[in-house]
This record gives sequence, structure tokens and C-alpha cells, in this order.
Amino acid sequence: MTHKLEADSIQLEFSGKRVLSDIYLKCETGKITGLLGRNGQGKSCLMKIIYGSLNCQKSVRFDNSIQFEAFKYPNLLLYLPQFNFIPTGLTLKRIFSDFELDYSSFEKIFPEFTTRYKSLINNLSGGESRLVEIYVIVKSKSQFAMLDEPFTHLNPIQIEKVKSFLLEEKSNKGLLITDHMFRHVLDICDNLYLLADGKTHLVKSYEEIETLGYAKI
Amino acid sequence: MRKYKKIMLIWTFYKSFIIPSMAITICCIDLIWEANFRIIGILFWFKIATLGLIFCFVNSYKSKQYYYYQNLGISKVMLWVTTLVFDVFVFILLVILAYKFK
Repeated sequence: MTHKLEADSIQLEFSGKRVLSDIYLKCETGKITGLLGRNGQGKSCLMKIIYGSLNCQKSVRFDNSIQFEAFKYPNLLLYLPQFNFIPTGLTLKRIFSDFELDYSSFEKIFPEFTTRYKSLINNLSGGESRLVEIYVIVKSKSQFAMLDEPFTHLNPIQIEKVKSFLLEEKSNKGLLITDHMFRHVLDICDNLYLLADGKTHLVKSYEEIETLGYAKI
Repeated sequence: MRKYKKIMLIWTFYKSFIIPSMAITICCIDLIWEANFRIIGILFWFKIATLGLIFCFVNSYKSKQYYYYQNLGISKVMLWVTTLVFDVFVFILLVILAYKFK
């Protein structure tokens, strides 16, 4: 079944300075939606607003039904923040049990974790922890997942594996991704928005990324 | 979500501050015992104030971990209400037990 997530009418200000004002963003099952923008443009804020952990004026709709606090419904939306969020002291066994996921499927994709089932998350390297976090968020049952800088801390081989994994998983859910490694985002996304001056621009050609001042292609 | 899993997740969160909280509780009980229960009121409010400090500390230094619980369907409010109510309940229970033994 196809689901649709839409966000608009968002007004966000910090100390009188308008950060987000003219936003429209759509994410659908079977598609990876990319979100690019320079530092401080409000990408992470936008994700937090959609997730419901940052309050402001907004309209966030799941299949046309308004939802202010999506974080209360993990079956609707899961969120990978840009920092490590798994409490230290938990083993991979416990984490996979909490998210009701099968560890052997994870091992098949990432064989380097074969002997790490009982390892503590804080004993893994930065890249390994990030892989675990990406996997549990993307693989868990939910209609949508938002990934804030998923490629940070990953080595090139891990990035390629994660990209293949995301392309495989998009058939089950809608994915919204933001990352400064924009070429990787461009490789896998079906739709691309660029956040500039508080507005989202639906990017139709790579030249627009340059025109909007984000990067040189 | 299954009740057992929810309890385990809340317990995991509680473990992040159980040692200082229980240490304060035990010290308070000891002082109440020594003072022959004359300073119960003061130490009760002292205990509440220390819970306030623990709340601020966890919000400052462990706030990133809230996303783990939220992604599993447990809100910040639920985490704090259940753990603080339980912590105060344990404090009151220990005061009552101490009074009975005295």
C-alpha cells in the first residue's frame, strides 16, 4: 500500500529571525526524497518539526490526516537524528530485540557484525554504531523514515552498502534523507528538494543545485 | 507495544540515574532515622529538589537518548512521569518502613 507524507504551512522563527516560511515537502512509499541545504538553513529543524519534537505553526499530514506529534506513533514515522542516539550500555542483542528485528538479516548485509551480537553499542566504532542505527530505523515497521546525515562516520564501502540497502527498502516505506555528501543523495533519491532562504525548491535538474547556491556540480 | 517491553525500556532509562537517586534516598532515610523523624518534611523536599537537579542533568547530558525511546513509542513525558513517581514512591515506602522498625 502506498502512503503519503506532506508538510507545509510551516513557520519557524528563532529570536525574530525567520528560518522556515515557505515549505512544501512530499514523501511517498517507494520513493527516496532528498533534502539538501547549506548549514543553518533549517534541514534538521524541518525534520524535527515533521517528527513533532520541535513545536511551531505547521501542517504535517500522513495520508491527508493531520498529525502534530508523529513521534508518538512509531508505526507512522521513525527518525534518525544526526547524532548517535542509542543509549550506551545496550548490547546489539537488546537493541534488535527492542526494535523486533532479526539479527541474521543484518549480518547478511553487514558480515563484519557476525561476532558482535553481544557487543555493547559503545564498544563499536563510530561507523559501526551509525550502521546499526541506520539499519534499525530503516528496517523497523513504519510507513516513513527520516534520516538526518546517515552517511556521516561511514567509510566508502559502508556508504555503498547503505545506499543499496536504502534502495532495497524504499519499496516498503517512504524515505526522507538529508546529508552534505550530496552526490550520494543524488545517486539514490527520486525527488530532491533544496532548502534555501527558508523555502523548499523542488529540484528538477542538477544545474538548479548550482543556481540555488548549494554546490558546484 | 507489549507491556513487558515498555517496562524494560522505562527501566533502562531509570538505570541512567538510579545510582545517585538511590544514594540520596538512603542518605535521607539515614538522617531521618538519626533525627528521630523530626526532619521528615525538610528531607522530603530536599529529595524532590535533588530529583529536579537530576532531571536537569539528564536533559542536558543525555537528551540525545530520548530519540531511542521515542522511536520505540515511549514519549519523554511517559519516561519522566513513571520514573519520578516510582522514585518518590520508593522514598516514601522506605520512610514508612524505617518508622515501623524504629
